[in-house]
Amino acid sequence: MSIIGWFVTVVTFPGVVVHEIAHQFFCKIAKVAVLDVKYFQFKNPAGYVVHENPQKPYQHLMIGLGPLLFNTIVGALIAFPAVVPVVTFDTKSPVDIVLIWLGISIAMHSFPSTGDAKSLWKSIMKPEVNIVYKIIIVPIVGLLYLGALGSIFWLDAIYGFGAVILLPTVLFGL
Amino acid sequence: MSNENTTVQPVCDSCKVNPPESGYAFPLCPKCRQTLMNRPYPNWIKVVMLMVGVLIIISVFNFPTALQAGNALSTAKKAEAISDYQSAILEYQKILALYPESQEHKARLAICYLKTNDLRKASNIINSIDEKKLSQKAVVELNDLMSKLK
Repeated sequence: MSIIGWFVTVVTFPGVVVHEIAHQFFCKIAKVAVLDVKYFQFKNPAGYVVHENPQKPYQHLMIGLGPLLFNTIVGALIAFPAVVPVVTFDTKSPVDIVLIWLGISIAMHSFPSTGDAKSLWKSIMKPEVNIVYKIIIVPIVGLLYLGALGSIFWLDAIYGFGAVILLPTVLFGL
Repeated sequence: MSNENTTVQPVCDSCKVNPPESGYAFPLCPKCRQTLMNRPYPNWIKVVMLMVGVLIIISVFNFPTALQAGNALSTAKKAEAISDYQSAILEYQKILALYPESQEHKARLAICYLKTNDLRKASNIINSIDEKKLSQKAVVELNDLMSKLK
């Protein structure tokens, strides 16, 4: 991780914490044991959840995709009431600024890491996985992998901004 | 002298006591697996979640204001697009009642007043605008309208 990347991760640490909380939450839903959790650390990776190997591909998919849905929705909802006043109506209320920072931080850590995407890919490509399941899931996992790799080009930051700005823009045509 | 062949029985990786449950790759006994499936969140995470919850509550309280202003803006833009400046004026007044510091929407209100020849009200608004905070489009449009009046 570059120095800039490390700095951005530290500044947006709530997103890392929420990402790991999402993984842990979906492990609970999928009934998969969580062996270790680091919600945030000043190292690479900035956070992780170690869980036992899920028995079924759908469990792995839930755990892998969980942060993408959770972080996007939570980030967009937290920032939504603040985006309109700050971006459109010039207000500079401290609460609004904090909400936007929180929303973008959370939304930009939606993507699975390359580790998550690799683990998901390996679980889908096992011989015992049904071919129909593979046909449906492989493109999704491929996109997740690309998204994870895209963070090298700040795709995660663009996604974070987009997720936070998109909802008010679509709703109000701002 | 006997030659014993000792077999080490597998044990749960967590409690190191009970035998692991069969059918799973990672050796955990049923009780430990159940505990780890429902692994609790540490207290500091609960505190952080609580703080985020409070911010969300504040956000929810602010939401109707943002929604109202957003709807008014959407309606104002549509009204301006069809040259219904009286309706647009009403909507921009609603916005400024909620967000009085919005320079861009003061400018839009002034533009609507100019287009309806209400020069006094336009002048009052223009005098209160901080031009540095306006978009280029609003500045050009205001200057254009005011030059036509001269």
